[in-house]
Amino acid sequence: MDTTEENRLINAILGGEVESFAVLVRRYQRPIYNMMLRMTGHSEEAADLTQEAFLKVYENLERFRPSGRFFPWLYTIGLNLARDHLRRQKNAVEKTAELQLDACDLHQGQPDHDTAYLQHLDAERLPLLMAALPIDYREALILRFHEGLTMRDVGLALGISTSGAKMRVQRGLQRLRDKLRLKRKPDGA
Amino acid sequence: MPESKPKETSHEDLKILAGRIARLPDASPPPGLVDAIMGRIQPKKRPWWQNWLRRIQTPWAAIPLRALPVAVALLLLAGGAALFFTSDRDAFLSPPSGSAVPQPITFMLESPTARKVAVIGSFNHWNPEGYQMQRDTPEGPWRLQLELSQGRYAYAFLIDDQWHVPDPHSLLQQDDGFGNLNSALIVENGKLDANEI
Repeated sequence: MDTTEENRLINAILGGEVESFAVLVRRYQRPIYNMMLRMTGHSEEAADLTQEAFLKVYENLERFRPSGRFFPWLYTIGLNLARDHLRRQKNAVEKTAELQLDACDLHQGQPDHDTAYLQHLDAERLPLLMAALPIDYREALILRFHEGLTMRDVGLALGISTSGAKMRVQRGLQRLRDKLRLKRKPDGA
Repeated sequence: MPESKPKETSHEDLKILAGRIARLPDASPPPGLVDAIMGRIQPKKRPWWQNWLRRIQTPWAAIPLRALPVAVALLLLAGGAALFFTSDRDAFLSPPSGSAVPQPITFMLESPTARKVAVIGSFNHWNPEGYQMQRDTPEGPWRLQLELSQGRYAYAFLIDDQWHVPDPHSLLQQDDGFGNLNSALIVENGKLDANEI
């Protein structure tokens, strides 16, 4: 959905056409729900928080600038809600992920090539590694590579500058690689 | 490869990681989520003039054609008022962000033995017709310049009408679910951004 279509829908919603909001919810429920799932690790909590995020967006739609970008704005609101929720719940998803990762038999007797360890990084292990990253790095990587956002929009969603977003993406990737290499050491040493 | 900053070979593993993140599976939201949200909201009731102000602050492309004459009149009549009343004059005066104006992107591939090469991708529905690459010298790199709007695209090279080859220099790689590996690029603010990590 492009900016033009989003602005048309938002103007319609503000004009009283509530049904237009369902179009925005259908379009963006998946990335927001998945973000909430990464933050909480629980599907029910993630669904509740996704609802809350969209309701908050609806309540504050008048404050969305027509020259702005809707998805980064929505993501910022969702991310703040999730952070508040985690603070209240003290739900340490990152620690849980670390424990799961330790129990995960990542590398056994692999050749010590630069990229060989990546061959064993399957679809189950990567989310665990990602969950062990600080939230800001993890979400920067997801927004950039999974959602395909521009660096500018990554910055808008995370409340940082474009150059800050570039740095966060680069460092996030490096941290992820370092985590993989650290996990490899006991076998590779 | 699309022309951009030179890639460092030490970034090879970062490139693979980025591609893996791109291919991470998503969980499906619960089926009743949209209905649950829609059941908790009421239509907004705002004064008519607030909606008018909103519309004249909206970038032109978002205004339906049938409403254009009205919008022009409103702009002339209410533009001054908007500047007076709005608390964010910069937002009113500045051009819209996220412009969808197409930008020139040059694809390049070194394949000295190929007889012909085309670029195929999500921007041309994977149809090579009209997307043949050219080279300046018999063994020089194949090139093709395209106009692409801001966004994310999957693409690959089609060599001699039969070999589907991802861009060896692209940062992002993704499979299409049918056994082919494609490259991905992100066009941002008039420049190629795919190799930025």
